[in-house]
Amino acid sequence: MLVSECMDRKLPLHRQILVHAHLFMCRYCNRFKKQLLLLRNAAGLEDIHGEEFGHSHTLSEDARERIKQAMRDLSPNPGPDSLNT
Amino acid sequence: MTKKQAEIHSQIENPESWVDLYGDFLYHFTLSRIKDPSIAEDLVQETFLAALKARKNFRGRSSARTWLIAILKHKLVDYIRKRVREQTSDKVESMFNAAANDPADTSFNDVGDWRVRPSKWAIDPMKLYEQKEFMDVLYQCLGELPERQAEAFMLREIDGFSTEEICKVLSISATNSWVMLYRARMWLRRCLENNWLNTES
Repeated sequence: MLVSECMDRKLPLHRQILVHAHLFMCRYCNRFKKQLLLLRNAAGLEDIHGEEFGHSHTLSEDARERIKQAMRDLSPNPGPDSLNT
Repeated sequence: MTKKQAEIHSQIENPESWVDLYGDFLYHFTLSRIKDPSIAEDLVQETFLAALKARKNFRGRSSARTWLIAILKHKLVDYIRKRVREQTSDKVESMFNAAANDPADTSFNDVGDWRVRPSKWAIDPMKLYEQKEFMDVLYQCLGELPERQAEAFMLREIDGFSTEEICKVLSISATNSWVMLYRARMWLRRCLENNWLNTES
């Protein structure tokens, strides 16, 4: 749990030392820590590559307009930030 | 205000531009996870509407695009969770019924040694964006996590919230938040090992 916890806060010094010492000796806990960091990086990814999946990657004009209209409907008060043209 | 901050502020204050600036990017991201174009469109619409309601809370810590993609990821996981509950998933072994096998409780023996040692993952962390199978299984596993744990994990890892911010949103103590994050990470790690490593080999 300390390996996970040190990803979320700065541990007290004596615990930091314990964790570092253990990670130096235990390859499985080291592997575990790398996997948790991988999960963090993966969750934060914004870009995706990969094989084509046979669909257009862009919104159709209809979908685009539908979404804009739904946003206008949510903004009932015309004003500087209004979506009404 | 710096030039970059002014640019971000301008983008957030101008919702008319969002669909044209970011719509295709969000749609592409969603479609890569959810193969159905009409559901992908719905999720993108839900994202923009949620962002419109929440734009006063945008603090400018990230770009508008990053902020929108974070909202989209929450919507995506909610959709996957709903789909998992409605149907039996034959691709991802469900962890919901495995309370007795919660990896947070069962991974270590009485003296703190690993019961089942973490397997080696054959994945290049520098090329995560190419690992479509891995990312598919990750989002599926997020949808399988108990909702509160998934929420804590996403607030931390997708939204970049601090412990204090997570505690405020979820009304929990700091200690509870660290325990929830630990349990979430253990579940996700086990879920990935069970459902992705196996298909890789």
